[in-house]
Amino acid sequence: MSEPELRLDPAIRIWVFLPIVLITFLVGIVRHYVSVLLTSAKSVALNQVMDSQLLIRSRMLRENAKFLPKQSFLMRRHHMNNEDNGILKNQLSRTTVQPNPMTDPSMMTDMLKGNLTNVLPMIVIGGWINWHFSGFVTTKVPFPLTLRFKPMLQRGIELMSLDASWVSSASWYFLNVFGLRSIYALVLGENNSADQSRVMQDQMSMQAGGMPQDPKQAFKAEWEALEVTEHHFALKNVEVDMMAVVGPTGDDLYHQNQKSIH
Amino acid sequence: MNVQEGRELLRSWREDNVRRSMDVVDLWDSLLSQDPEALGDEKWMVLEQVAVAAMDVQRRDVVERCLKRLKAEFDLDSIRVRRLYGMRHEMMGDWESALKLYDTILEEDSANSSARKRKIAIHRAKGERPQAIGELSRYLNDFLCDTEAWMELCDLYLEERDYAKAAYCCEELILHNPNNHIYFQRYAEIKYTQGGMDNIEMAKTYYAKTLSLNPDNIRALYGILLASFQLASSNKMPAPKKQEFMKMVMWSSKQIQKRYQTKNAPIDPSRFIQAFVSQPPNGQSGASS
Amino acid sequence: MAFFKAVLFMSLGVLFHAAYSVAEWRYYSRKTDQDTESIPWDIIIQTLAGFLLAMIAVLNIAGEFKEIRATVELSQKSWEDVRNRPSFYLFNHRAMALSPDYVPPSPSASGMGRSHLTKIPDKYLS
Repeated sequence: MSEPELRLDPAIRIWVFLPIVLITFLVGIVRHYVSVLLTSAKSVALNQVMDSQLLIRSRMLRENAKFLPKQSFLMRRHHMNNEDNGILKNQLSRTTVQPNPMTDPSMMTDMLKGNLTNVLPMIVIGGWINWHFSGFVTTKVPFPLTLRFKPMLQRGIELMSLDASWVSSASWYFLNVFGLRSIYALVLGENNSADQSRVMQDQMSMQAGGMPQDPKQAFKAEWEALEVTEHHFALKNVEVDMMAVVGPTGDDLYHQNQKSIH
Repeated sequence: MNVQEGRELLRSWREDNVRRSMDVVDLWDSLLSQDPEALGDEKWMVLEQVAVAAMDVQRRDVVERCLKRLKAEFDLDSIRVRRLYGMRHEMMGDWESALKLYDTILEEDSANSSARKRKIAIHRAKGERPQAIGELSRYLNDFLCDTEAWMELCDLYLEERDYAKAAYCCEELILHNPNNHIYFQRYAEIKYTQGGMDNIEMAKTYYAKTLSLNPDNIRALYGILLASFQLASSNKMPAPKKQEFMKMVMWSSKQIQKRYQTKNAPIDPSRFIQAFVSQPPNGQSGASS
Repeated sequence: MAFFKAVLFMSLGVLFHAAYSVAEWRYYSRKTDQDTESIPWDIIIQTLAGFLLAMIAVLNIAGEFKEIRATVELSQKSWEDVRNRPSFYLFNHRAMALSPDYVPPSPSASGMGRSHLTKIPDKYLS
């Protein structure tokens, strides 16, 4: 390992580096419990349940149809895809109303609560750290960075010749926020509210409680997939398999005639 | 046994859907009732489990105690607690109060599946099978993937001797759990009961699938024995096929005897096998419920 | 189980101690300008020992492995348990009679007249 060009005060390690990690971690846990207290129980509407279950059932049919006799499979496919009254077909022709976040009050409050518990603490604490721990570099990231990152990562340190890998405390804080995600998963279990990046993803895709435009696409995809599914009866040669598993009994080796059932 | 082990046992029973209500209530009486608070966070699930088990054996004192504790914590706002109170009405035979309670739950939350299922159970308890079937079919139109409900509908159709529809429900079960040998076996038994050469051949195929999933399934071995024998003794089969089926009969009877021997069973299966293969064709044996 | 949790805790302590000793050693070796040497071998052994202990503890805490083949686990189950549908349990079955509060129905209410349930009708007593 090469010589480090800069030697940092060890006090930085004890009083800046570790406290920022600790602060981020504890704030994340507090945020999780606060959001648990604040979230209201999402009540699912009956038709949403029906939609999702219909999709699941259609998928099951496609995947496991080979265990059913051909007649049963055809009957079910007809029931789902039928031109006149197949249940998948019906869903396709249904008009869906896209729930507008601006007009739907419950979704509005959900979004507001989400913003409050996640974005606000991040901004507040980031700002405080930037103000409190300013004027020195905190750590060095192990990979080289270009000079374009300098103004972003080295706020408050006006040195032209300093390597961009040396970052300030604010950037160390942000690094922690994203890096501690997996630790939260270990400590709090999956699906915890301290998971920042998932919240951002949700906000970006604008899906609030249900699938607005997606059901129609999903149904269309399922309908097409079901149309092209072929039925290969997996139990055609099952007696041969059975013999292999259970074992023949000595003198009479059973020869299966390969007659297909349908 | 200490409280930890008791809790573990109850948890395993809860997860495996075991209905050993007398044992649960005994465990409660002997071990857990002294200090239910020691169970920690699991105590609500345990209280629910003990309450339902006590309803099964009509221990009203245990039911009262558990429900009172649950109500003290969660209040009647909780739908789950209300459902337990509804089940208590059912235990006492008070169908009207139970129905009224479930209707209030459904008013509040139209997508609640457990209240609808209890209403269907009430129909069945009162002996109103057709209504139960109707309600359950409507329920399944909304909740298409509910394995429990499909199993219940299969049972109801079997009680009505409507084997074609029972076979349909069993197929749903197979679709959702293609690795479970039990569903294949049940489907084979329904097909065998329906009778007719095609159905019996189908039954034989599905029994074979059951065995390939679980080689220790004796019932499937007997099933293959019977189905092959039926097919072999049918008049419409060409001779070479009859030969094949008879070979299958021999194979399965040997397998059965081998199984009984390896497990040191005290009975000799040859009597049963003899009885099965000497009955007239188109015999009346089939799926029992 | 508690024993292995203690072992895990101890192994984590050992690892932290090894890490701290490396930091200390580096600090002192920098001070005395000797940092061309490799890490002292007792720290290496301590690290490896801590790692081994942690592995053993975690493997014992984690419990039994589940079977990969889905069919094997399911084949242990019997129809007795699979057929149970907890949401549809009925309570008006014969076990009612085992309850301490059970009151058998009185003969007059059963509509059979004055004959007792166990009385054999005369036409069968030939």
